[in-house]
Amino acid sequence: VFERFVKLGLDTIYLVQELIAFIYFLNRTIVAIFSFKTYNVAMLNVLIKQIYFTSVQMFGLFFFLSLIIGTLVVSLLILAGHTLGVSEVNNRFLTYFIAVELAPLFTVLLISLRSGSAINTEIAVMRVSNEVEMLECYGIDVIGYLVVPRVISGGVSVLVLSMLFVLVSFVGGYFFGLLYGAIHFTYYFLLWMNSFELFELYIMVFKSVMFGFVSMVIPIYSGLGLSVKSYTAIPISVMRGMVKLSVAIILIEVLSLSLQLL
Amino acid sequence: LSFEKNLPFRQISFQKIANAKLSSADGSRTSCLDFLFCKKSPLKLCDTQSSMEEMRRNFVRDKRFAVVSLWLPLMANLSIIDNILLPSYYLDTDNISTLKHQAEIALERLDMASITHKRYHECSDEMIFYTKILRAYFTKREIVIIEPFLQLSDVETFAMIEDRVEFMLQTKITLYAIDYLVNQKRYDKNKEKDA
Repeated sequence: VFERFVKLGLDTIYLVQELIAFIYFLNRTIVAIFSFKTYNVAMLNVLIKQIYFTSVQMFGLFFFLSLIIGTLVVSLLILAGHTLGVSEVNNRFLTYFIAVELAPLFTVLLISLRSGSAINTEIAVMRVSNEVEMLECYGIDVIGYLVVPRVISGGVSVLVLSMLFVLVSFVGGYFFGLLYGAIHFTYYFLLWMNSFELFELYIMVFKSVMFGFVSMVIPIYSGLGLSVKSYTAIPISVMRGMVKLSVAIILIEVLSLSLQLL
Repeated sequence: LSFEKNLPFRQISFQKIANAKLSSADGSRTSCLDFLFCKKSPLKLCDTQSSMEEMRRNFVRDKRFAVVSLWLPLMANLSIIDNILLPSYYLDTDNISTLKHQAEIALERLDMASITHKRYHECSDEMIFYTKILRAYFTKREIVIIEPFLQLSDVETFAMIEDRVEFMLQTKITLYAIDYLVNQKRYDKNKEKDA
């Protein structure tokens, strides 16, 4: 029993230390984001590349998947509304569900799977091959050069792609409506616009930015925090990073829903 | 070279390392800078690992010198010219176009213009080594420390490097080449053979 208590105590200390280290890392990252010194030619080069890798490169795939998922969800909800005879309430729910819940979540899941895992691996490889130490040696701030551009690109990408998801779902829903008879585009557009509240837009922007932030910060932290400098430690780092990222995404979703309940 | 006179080396008992007898196997596997920074300590010179680690950290962050070592690689996701100019892009943002032009000229003089926009895995050991020298050179730091032997597959190529780094010696930059005595002797022996 005593040994179990000791183990529990040690695990708790380890967890608290990990948490403090992560908070310290977050603090440094946020300070660097708002620091004028961070924005130099090297950093901007990385930022442009990261935005290209994270959003532009996956644009085609994202558009295709958004079209399928968005159109299906919008169509199903419109049909359900008509069947139940609650079209007006349904329109409110539809815009809320697509813009505030589905779009950011769908986008962050795709970005995490594609870019989050890639960035975790990239940073871990850089750590093992001493590239991170090389940066320190030449006086280059690791947070400013490696972390900030990726985090900004994450926030921008999730936000822009979420908006694209909403747009694609909206257009997909219109074409679905055409299958059931003539539907005026202006009427359809106004229906969406009237159902959409500014507060929901704020929540969507905030959620998207938060999702983008964690989808980059956690994999980078996991890659940089490689305990053993060995290539065999990289898959473990990626696995742990992805698990932590999944937990963080769920936590943000829960937090967002709870705040809206209040 | 009298390492004792230079501040960064004064902190570490380098003389002991220089006089120590190392086997050739140790010499070929362990980077001299690894040794200097006490990453590896076959001679048990590091009494307290933490203080040495602190010393190593201070050493690499010292802005007076640039290190060219096997231990400090090129960035895999950058082209050769971006690798050369990375510290300048970060620290000297005013003269980017001038520095870029200078780097292109330097690459041309080293017959490496063809690899300007290539990644390092497409280049030979020698090319990677010259790129690292140029990267160190373009930091405009007072001292450049190079560790040539372990980065090249053939010690004879050091003769080529001697010619190529001439231009660095003509500038105000001080160049130190450091390595094990055992490598130095191997190199001298090869030179004698060629003669």
